[in-house]
Amino acid sequence: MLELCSASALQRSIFRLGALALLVLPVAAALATGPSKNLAPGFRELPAGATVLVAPLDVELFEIDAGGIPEPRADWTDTARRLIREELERRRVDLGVQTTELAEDATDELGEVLSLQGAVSEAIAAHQFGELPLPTKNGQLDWTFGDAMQPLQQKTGARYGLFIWVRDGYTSAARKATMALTAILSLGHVIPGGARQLAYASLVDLEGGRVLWFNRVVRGRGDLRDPAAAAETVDELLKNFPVGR
Amino acid sequence: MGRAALADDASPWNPPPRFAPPDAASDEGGLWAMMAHEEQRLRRSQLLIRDAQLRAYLQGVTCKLGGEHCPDIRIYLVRTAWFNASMAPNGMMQVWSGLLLRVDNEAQLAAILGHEIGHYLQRHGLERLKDARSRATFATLLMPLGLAGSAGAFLAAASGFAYTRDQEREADRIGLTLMRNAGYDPREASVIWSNLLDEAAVHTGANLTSNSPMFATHPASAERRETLAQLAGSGGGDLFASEYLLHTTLLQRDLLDDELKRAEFDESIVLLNRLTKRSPERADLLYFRGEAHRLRNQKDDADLAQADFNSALALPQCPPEADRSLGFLHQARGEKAAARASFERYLQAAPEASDAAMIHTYLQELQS
Amino acid sequence: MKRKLTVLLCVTLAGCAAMGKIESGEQAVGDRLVVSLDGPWNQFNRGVDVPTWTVEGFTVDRLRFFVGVKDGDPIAKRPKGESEQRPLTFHSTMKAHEVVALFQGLYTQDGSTFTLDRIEPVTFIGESGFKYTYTLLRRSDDVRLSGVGYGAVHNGELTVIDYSAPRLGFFPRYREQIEKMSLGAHLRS
Repeated sequence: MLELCSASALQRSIFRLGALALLVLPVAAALATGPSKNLAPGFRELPAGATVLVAPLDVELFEIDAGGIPEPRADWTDTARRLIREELERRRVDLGVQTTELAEDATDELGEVLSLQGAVSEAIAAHQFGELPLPTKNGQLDWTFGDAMQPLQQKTGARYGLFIWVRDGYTSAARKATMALTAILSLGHVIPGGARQLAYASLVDLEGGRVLWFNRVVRGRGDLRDPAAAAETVDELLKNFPVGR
Repeated sequence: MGRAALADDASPWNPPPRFAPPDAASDEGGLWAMMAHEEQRLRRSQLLIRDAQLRAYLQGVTCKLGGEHCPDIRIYLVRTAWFNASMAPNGMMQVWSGLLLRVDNEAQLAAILGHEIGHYLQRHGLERLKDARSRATFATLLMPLGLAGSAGAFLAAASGFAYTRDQEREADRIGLTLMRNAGYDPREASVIWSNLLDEAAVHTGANLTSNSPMFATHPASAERRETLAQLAGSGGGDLFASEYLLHTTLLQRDLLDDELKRAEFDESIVLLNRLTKRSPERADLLYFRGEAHRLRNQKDDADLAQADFNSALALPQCPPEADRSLGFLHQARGEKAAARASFERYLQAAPEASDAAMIHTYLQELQS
Repeated sequence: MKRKLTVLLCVTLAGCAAMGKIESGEQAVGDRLVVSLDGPWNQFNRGVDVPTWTVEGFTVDRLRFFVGVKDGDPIAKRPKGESEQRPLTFHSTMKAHEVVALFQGLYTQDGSTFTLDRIEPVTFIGESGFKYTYTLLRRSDDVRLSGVGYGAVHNGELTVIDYSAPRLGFFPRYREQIEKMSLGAHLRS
């Protein structure tokens, strides 16, 4: 029996602090509420003519075994990533901005900043949108990377970056039958029962490092290996994407 | 450069021609996409060793073995102190740095790489990946994130993905053939398994079948060792020991530091016993064995450590840290004069050390 | 396990604060350590071994206080099944290098990679103490962290303030503040 705090759970954990929200919001599809929660203070929308780098998607799907332990499923992940990317492609025009991409194989030197992006976004998802707000943030979207994102700007010429991150887990049939809610908290790694989906989209000013806009989607239903669900998720993620309309 | 025949080489095996990339829409194509993604993650991993010279060397050995398939094989060196080498069906080969520490020469390296290439050439991985469970756990095995804390998960994944015994035997045979054809002495294949078994035996005792996470992807067994020895026959061929040492020498210090950081001192001591016996002229190996004893700190470890440090200091190119460690030993025993002498020697040899100021403070305390 | 479930229940009930605010000014940690803060911090109230604060969130930065660890006690709890050869127990006779080795052991339990960059003497809580800086490669998410610790033994008991944050963008932003706070810390008599 694996320790739930073991590195295998940690390293691909989707069940960070933000997922606690599911325990107080058993009904699916919780979205951020007012505009101030999603937008950095003083920021309303991207300027006309802005170029946004759409960073490589970070998607990971898990199977939750009978013991509640998430195991990464490379095959499911592959399907979901492809579907989400396709949906994002379809939506890029609607975003209303110039977009550019960073080919996945051009990211060799960018590992440190990309993994940092993941950690910061998990903090925002947990503390800004989850049930563990950081009192010092005063309810504001107030995070910055400083100059850490400038290599991305230099490499692509884009002033802004859009980062999308999705984690989802599916229980086996055996576990569904015994849907007891057990959750183990260990410095942020929560593993609730049932299917759950946690996704976020983060818009960052690559030059100054400020997180300008952030959206988080939490769902308790829907299968990302299915095109309709993938489309719905992308839809919800990009709702209120800050462009002038 | 002799060419050793395999002992029962009645029907020589020939490598297949290069593989064509699969149709993206096919099942296999899907697998390729999955592997490509994992490869990209590996390429930007903070654990990847990016030393160009070392990578070129490893790639060179791979190419000697892989022949025509050389352009399709990409080798990645990952900084993880455990022993592992694995190859995905798309040609991505991962070697963990703990392996480099345990390999004595290029022939032994070729034995392991050749074995993995054998799996690749016979498409064993692809067969395994067609099994749903294997596919699921594949990512776990590919992750350069390794063990320690996730040993359980890794073992489970490894057993889920494990090649069949027939596949392992086939890979062993092909590995030996590739070694022979490239001019390496195939007897070295058996030697490396022998060494690994000794290390594993520290925990499993006389039972030579190891379940240690160290060997999760390469089950070590006496049977395997015997078979490899038998197939290698009378040997002949090169070891290329000095070439190996030349290319890995700069990394040795890091590899030994990492080994100690595993905090598996029983295993480290077995390993270092072998290495110091193999290379008695190397002061650094004696220093690290001394450290393993000092850090394990059981029974007569302190005495054994002291003996090793003294032996190391008597040899040329001894790391100055040997004096620091001697200082720690004396300090712990309240042997003030001896401790002072050792620390002073350390500071003389390494005045810019990152802990020099701290050692100065110890010296001051020892004056009283 | 029981304690952790309690945390969970606590979080789901309205009005139960899992995160507390530490105001600027003089604050006491672990009963006896007093620090002077230029700005506010966030504290995780339950579910952690040692008082742990953060500015940006726990997946980003962590400020930990190990206050008055007694001779023979571990610096923190060890999860089940961990290697017994990686010591976590403090002894009053330990020198700075040995104490830092304990923290190395603590931070590498999950497979993370620890590299000690520097260790030097410093006056801390009025004692001849030590300051250590390190790099930590976090295994769970491949994030590279920089860390700094300030420690000393007073009356046979160990006190350490340890801070870690991502090397890029974050650690440089907070290091001076942490240094000032740590060097100004004192124990209540």
